[in-house]
Amino acid sequence: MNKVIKCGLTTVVFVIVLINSINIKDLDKVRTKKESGNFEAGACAQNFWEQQRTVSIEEAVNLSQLLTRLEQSFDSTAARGQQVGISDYRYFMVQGSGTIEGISEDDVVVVLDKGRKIRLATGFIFGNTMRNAVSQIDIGEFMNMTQFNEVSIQINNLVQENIVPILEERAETGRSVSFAGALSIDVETRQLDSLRIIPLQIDIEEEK
Amino acid sequence: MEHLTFALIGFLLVSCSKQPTENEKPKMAVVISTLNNPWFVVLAESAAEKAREMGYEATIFDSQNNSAKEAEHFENIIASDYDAILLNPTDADGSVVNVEMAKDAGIPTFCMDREINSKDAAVSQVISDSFSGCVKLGEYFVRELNRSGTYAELLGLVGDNNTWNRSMGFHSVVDKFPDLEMVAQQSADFDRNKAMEVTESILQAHPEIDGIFCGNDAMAMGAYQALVAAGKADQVKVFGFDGATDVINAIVINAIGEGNIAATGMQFPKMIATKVAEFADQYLNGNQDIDNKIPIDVELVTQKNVEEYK
Repeated sequence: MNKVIKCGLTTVVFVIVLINSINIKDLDKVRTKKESGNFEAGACAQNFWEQQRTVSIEEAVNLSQLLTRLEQSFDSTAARGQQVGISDYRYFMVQGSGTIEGISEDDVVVVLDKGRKIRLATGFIFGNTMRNAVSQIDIGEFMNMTQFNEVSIQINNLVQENIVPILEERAETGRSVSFAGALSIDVETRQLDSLRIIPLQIDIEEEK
Repeated sequence: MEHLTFALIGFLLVSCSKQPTENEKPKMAVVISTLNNPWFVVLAESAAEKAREMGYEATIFDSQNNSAKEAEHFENIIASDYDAILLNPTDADGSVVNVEMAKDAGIPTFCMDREINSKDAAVSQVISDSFSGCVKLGEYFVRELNRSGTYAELLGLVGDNNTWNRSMGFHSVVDKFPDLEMVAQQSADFDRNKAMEVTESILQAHPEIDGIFCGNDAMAMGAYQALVAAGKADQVKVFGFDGATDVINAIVINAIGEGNIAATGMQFPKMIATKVAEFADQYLNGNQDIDNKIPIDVELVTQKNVEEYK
């Protein structure tokens, strides 16, 4: 009888210890908790879109002038761009105009004055180029990098939803296009011949 | 008798209090999440080396990926009157209390590589920009798989922000391509052996996967080992993160067609450690104007540019 009680008690203790030593968490729930907390990246991005986007476009530098200055004096001109942390990239909000030369799966190729070519992104709009080019979004205001990066994702989504359709629907070879958008310059490679701009505003001429 | 007691107490207080002599060096503690991973060994030793180079006595503490162990280290560090702590945290939330405890004791903490979820507990946090690095990896992944196929993801420690920043960066790209389907997502704790076991079980359930995205290179090597054992090393493309030497070598071998580690994100542990030690030194010498959060670029390493990183 004693043996049965001992075995029973041992089993109960074992089960209690076992239950308390295992902590099963759903990865999706952990991820959601890590990603959001009380922070709403969508609201932050929407605030930028509605309140600050116009200012960013107004403050954008002329792309042709920027490229000329970079060709003449790369270091001092690149130093005027936005920089986040320790990075080889400098970010600018730029504006310009040109003629559409070609359309590919992820880009619209535009010829600027002096024959320079740039690409306006319609696909592969990822990463922090837009967020970093916009001077109003400060890393110091965020609890952690997760929040700071979520804002990038949301702004990229807004670009994809609101700006890219204009390019996809109306871009045709030979048409004139005016644009404003975010540009990153690699100060290590110093390449200026395959620049890709994430568009923030697009204006394409009506069909003649 | 009363005078004698006071004299004795006074003597004890004087002898117990910190009285730096001319020969006594200021001290920096280097607290590392784990020394069971070569990447963190480089981080720890680089930080300690830089501290010593600047005239500090430096001691490395191994937290063994255990927040309780890290807390013990902090208690010892505070009791031993260290001047600054260079911390690679074990947990973004769990480590905050340790850093605040040190702050209350007047010892500044500087985080390296991993961050804590606090704006002001640490003086500064120098961290790899894991999100951006994994956006680059995600873009390369999409192109390598021609925008369609099935894949698995091996996550790191679920309590570490880097785990989720890497995963989030990768998914911010890959999830936009509906023909790319994730069939398994499991944590392997940044550990090579666990990654091998997890990959073995994933391959049993999904033998036809096209790619495996791993949150660090140790897991990439573990996944690759499992693929080799299953005879699938040429079929499944593996993507890592860190820039570890064995993965760089595997990418070189892949470039000549004998393997399948496709890419990694190159982090710079020596640069992170050196910057953090320099910031700590500047702060101790009166510079209060140090940025709180400093991300460092991660570079994409593929067959095309691997020679630059050998």
